[in-house]
Amino acid sequence: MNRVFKALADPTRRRVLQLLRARPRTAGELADAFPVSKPTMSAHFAVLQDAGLIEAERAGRTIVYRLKMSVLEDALLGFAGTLGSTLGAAGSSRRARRARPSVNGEVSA
Amino acid sequence: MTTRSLTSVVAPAAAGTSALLVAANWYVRPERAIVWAPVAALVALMAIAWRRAGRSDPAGAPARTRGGVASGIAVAAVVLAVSLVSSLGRALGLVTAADPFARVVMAVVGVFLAVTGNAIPKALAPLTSLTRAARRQAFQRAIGWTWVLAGLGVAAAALLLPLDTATAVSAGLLVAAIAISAGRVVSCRAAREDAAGRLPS
Repeated sequence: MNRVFKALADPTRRRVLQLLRARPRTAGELADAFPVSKPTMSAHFAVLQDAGLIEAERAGRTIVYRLKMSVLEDALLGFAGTLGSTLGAAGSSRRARRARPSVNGEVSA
Repeated sequence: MTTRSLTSVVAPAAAGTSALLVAANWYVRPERAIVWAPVAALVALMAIAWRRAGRSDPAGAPARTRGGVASGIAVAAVVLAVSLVSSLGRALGLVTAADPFARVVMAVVGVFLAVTGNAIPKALAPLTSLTRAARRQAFQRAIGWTWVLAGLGVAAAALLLPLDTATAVSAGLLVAAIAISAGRVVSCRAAREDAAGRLPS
């Protein structure tokens, strides 16, 4: 279960799972959907595979990834997504507040 | 603890307890031997089936199927043990009219349905085409969610509602889950025939 929590902790990996919810996708399709390098994406895929949340299957020269999540893991993904976006929004508003200039024009650290 | 290791503990423990309870019931009410003899045979059959399911045979059924059989036997053995405890309690005058065991059996069945439904989306078929895999994935997710919610509903009703209401609610939930599953099967089949009948562009 720790591997599942580790896999769901990262927003990129959550987004990969959300994309795979709609339909299975090739590695290229998934990599194109993110502004990160292909080795980074491969590392994310490896973590998801290690957690048993996705399965890779070779179809000719491409690798097709598809979802392999139980209902509980699916619910955890939804929960982690909601919690992640809430915490992310709270964090960015806190950062914005910190970056706002004070009365004498200085930006607080 | 994994489901398999849990099953390997629960199944023999419940089957052994059931065997002891059958013997106790038989001893307390020997006039009902006609009931206890088939129950004893059923427990023996369960033990044999569990032993066979646990044995790895390269030419036999795959491990997943054997695991499914073993967990089914574990649940059946637990339900049987609870029923036998109830029967023995009634024979000894320890259990009065209100039957707490019916609730336990209903809750166990609900949990079993939820656990089984939870695993449905994880069972993947070999990849043939992306369209077919997408349709199958959507189907399995819908069926999995349906049975998990129905199972949890049955378990919650058994534990929280008055027994008559719980029975009615459980029956309603099961009928609804079966209807939803049947509807999904029909729509999935129709979509497959539609795709198969479409002319290649």
